[in-house]
Amino acid sequence: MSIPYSRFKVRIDELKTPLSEIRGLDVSIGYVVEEWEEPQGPTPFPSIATLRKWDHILLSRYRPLYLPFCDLCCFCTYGKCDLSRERRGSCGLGLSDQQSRLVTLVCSIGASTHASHARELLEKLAERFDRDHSIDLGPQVHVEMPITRLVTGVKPRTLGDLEIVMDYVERQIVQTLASVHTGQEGSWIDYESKVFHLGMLDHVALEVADVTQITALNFPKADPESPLADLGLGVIDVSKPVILVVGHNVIPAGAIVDYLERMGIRGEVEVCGLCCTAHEVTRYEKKNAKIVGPMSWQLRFIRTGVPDVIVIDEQCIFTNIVEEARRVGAVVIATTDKACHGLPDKSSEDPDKVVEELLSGRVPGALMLDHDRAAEVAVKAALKLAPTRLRLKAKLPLEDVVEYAKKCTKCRECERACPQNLPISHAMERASKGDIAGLAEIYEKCFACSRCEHACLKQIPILNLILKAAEAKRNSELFKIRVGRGPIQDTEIRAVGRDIVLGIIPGVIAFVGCANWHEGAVDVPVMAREFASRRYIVLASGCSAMAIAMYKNEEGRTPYEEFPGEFAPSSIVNVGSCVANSHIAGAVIKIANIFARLPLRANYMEVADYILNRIGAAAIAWGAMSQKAAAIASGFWRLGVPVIVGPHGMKYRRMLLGDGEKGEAWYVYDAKTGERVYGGPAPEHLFYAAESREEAMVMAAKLCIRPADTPQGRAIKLTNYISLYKKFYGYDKLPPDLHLFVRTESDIPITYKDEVLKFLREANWEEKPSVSDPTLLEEVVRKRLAVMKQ
Amino acid sequence: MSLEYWLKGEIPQPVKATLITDVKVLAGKIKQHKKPVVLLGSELYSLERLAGSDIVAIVADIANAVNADLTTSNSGIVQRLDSMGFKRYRVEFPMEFAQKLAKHSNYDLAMFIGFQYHYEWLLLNYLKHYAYKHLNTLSLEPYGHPNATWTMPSQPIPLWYKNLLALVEVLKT
Ligand code: SF4
Ligand code: SF4
Ligand code: SF4
Repeated sequence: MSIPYSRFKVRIDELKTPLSEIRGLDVSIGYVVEEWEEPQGPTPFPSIATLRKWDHILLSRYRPLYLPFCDLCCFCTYGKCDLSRERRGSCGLGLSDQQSRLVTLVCSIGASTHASHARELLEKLAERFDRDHSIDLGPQVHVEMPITRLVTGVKPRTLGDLEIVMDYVERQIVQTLASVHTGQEGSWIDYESKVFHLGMLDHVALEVADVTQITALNFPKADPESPLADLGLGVIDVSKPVILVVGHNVIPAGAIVDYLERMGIRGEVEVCGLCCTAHEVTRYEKKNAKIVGPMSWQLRFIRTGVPDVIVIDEQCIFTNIVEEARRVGAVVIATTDKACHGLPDKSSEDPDKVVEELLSGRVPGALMLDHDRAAEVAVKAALKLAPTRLRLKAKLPLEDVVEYAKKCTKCRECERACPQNLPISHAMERASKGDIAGLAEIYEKCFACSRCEHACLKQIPILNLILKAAEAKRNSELFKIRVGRGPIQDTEIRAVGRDIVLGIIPGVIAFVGCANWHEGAVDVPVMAREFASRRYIVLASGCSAMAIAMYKNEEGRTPYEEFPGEFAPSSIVNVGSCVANSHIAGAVIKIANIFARLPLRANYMEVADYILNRIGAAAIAWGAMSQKAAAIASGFWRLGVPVIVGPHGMKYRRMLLGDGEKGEAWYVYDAKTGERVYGGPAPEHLFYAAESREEAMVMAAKLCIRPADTPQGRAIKLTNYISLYKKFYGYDKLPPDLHLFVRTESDIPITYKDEVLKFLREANWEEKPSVSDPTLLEEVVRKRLAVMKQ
Repeated sequence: MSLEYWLKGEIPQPVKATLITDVKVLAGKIKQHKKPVVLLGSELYSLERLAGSDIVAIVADIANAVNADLTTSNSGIVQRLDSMGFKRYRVEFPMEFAQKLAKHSNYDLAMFIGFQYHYEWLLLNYLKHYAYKHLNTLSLEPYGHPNATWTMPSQPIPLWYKNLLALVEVLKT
């Protein structure tokens, strides 16, 4: 093992550097990390309070705007407590504190889920491939695992080295979760700091998970030309037995592919996936395996009756999936103790006997914790079930749709249950007269949750009717996605780092997160193509990466065929699944390290400060839904990367908004002189929910503005901000806050010069000096001044 | 008209809206205020499709009747307001505008129409808790909103449309 690991405690004050002022904190796990060429940074294995100072700096600018879902607290038996307005609970807690506490809880769940996923991958794959298996992300990646290095100070070389990293993450999550207990943390700002801490831990776990599977399972290694895979409901060959894998953990899905290959029957069975397991199985196999779609396609697909066997692993699984499978005569195989779904444990039984039991219908599915056996059962059951299920794959006749619609009493109970508030009764009325176009329109926005069906007193299978009405649309879902490539190459970072920091590349926009889209999937590819066409670097992951594929241009090409997959302007880069989000965070960290040569090792604050002030990056999590997505977003906030969510993202209970008009909030230090200078509201917000995609696009262009932009870079960024604004709101208009972002006349885009100058005069604008070396940290000033003195 | 709030899952909180079923009372509440603003959401299009009529024009009439400003972030609505020559509107992003309403503005009444239900529900709850000392809110949606100060009830779209027209008439008198 290359990292000496000892049990003695290190105190942070022994590790003091010019950047560190933190004293007296125990590094609670106590690792002695390997001597690597880079000296130890100031904050190895940070505990909750280590980076609190940075969090408070961020939170003094980006204040929470609370959107309480519930005005009460019922956490303990003193409650329920009414926290409305300025009331407080029996324990002393106010409404703001409670909202931040809830966000802490949500992010604890998210971070735990990723940590558990990472730990499971690590344990299983290190056992299979040996703990000394080298971490290898391809010849172009020398700075591998930038998040882990930045946070912990560990430079892992083997899978075994990642165990101490996970020990740290797990301990910190438990420590942070404990703060949610009644009578523990009492202030919103410290809860928010804990949210950031959880986000940072989450990013470490993401990186461990993805690097482990890339390394052990030979996923694409930073390959800009990773192969194209089929995606969509229409790409599945229904004449074959179909195995559907759902979730996030690749191991069971990989075992199915391996088993089919070993038996020499890979071509005889369709293996397709939903949600991130779909990404992973295509990254694993790189051919044959297909992606059905994002997580909200679960019932859309299962209700068609096409899958014969459904293999579930972990996260984002429709929790009534056993019942849904039973209705179409399919069987479910659960593969993790985190999601057993009430199924009998058949892990140690003879696979042939399990298959027989499944076929007999005595059990609706089985829990199979041995993944090789689970694979064998899945394949054998699919081969035997498929011929008997052809009848169930038959489609609902159109006449039945009309007959069902005639039963509708227009009570609108379904609409009052629908999270999208879709006009179901109106569509039913049309359908009862034979016009199913209204139901087909609903399909575009419906995410197949089936809440409407549970509400309908007439027992109308509303979702089935919607699916039937959209049959032609469903069958035409035939798309191509570039398989998740994993990390960004060091050489790619070198090629574009300078232009990103100067602002010549207007920004890096990452489309991340789940499938809770208000207007359906189409918003995501429309936004991605717009930014790629404007020379932004567009990154994608998870369900958003799938959504981008679900679009065809006039030539019938999907965005992945239209735009290249390298980390460069005018590209669309699919990094992979949720856990591959680590490569998006990793890329911005690597810009600071490789281009700006900032030390990486345990140097979190300085690097985050650099990113916040210089790297024009923003994430758009348009359909963010899960607790994991909340934790991922929190990791980006602490790193200084703003996140925009769609309208459903309001339900995360609070935004982090700057106030552009509040001048004093936007002062920074000029690290070269130590003077406090106005840096402008850049980026203006850290967490923002947009109501429409137009708003999100204008906001994303704005949130890529940074204090360190050169005049040329600022002019390029403002060109995009202004032109997007004009495109959507009228060519006679300018963004009303434009004066806040123009420092000197050289920032003004040539194309809009006269118009902007007139606007600035009317706004009583005054020139402000631009600052080339902005920082929010006194430590960075001291360090720079010390270097200059030498 | 239903005296219930709209979405089934939205259990009203301790501080909840007063439901107004009489258009005259509604008009009276609006007229009590010196500086009202109407926020128009992107879902106005869905309402227009269901009602089969030009709701933007009706909202403009309401604004004209009580000297209210309009705000929206929807590009289509902006074009419509421009084409009808309506001047007293601003492009405002709802989240940023909610922050302004709570912190910087002198508006005393914010009326909401055409928003996604949950989106408005949450914006209203922010304002209910953090701007209540100087700002009242009113939902003009066909869906009852518990977090507003006052709300129209949940009602079928044709009835809601008729009520909106009646509101314009009362406000003009
Ligand atoms: S935790 Fe505090 S606010 Fe919540 S129910 Fe208990 S006493 Fe009330
Ligand atoms: S299945 Fe579709 S229509 Fe039904 S409640 Fe869910 S989103 Fe609404
Ligand atoms: S709940 Fe059922 S009966 Fe009532 S409007 Fe909806 S579909 Fe019709």
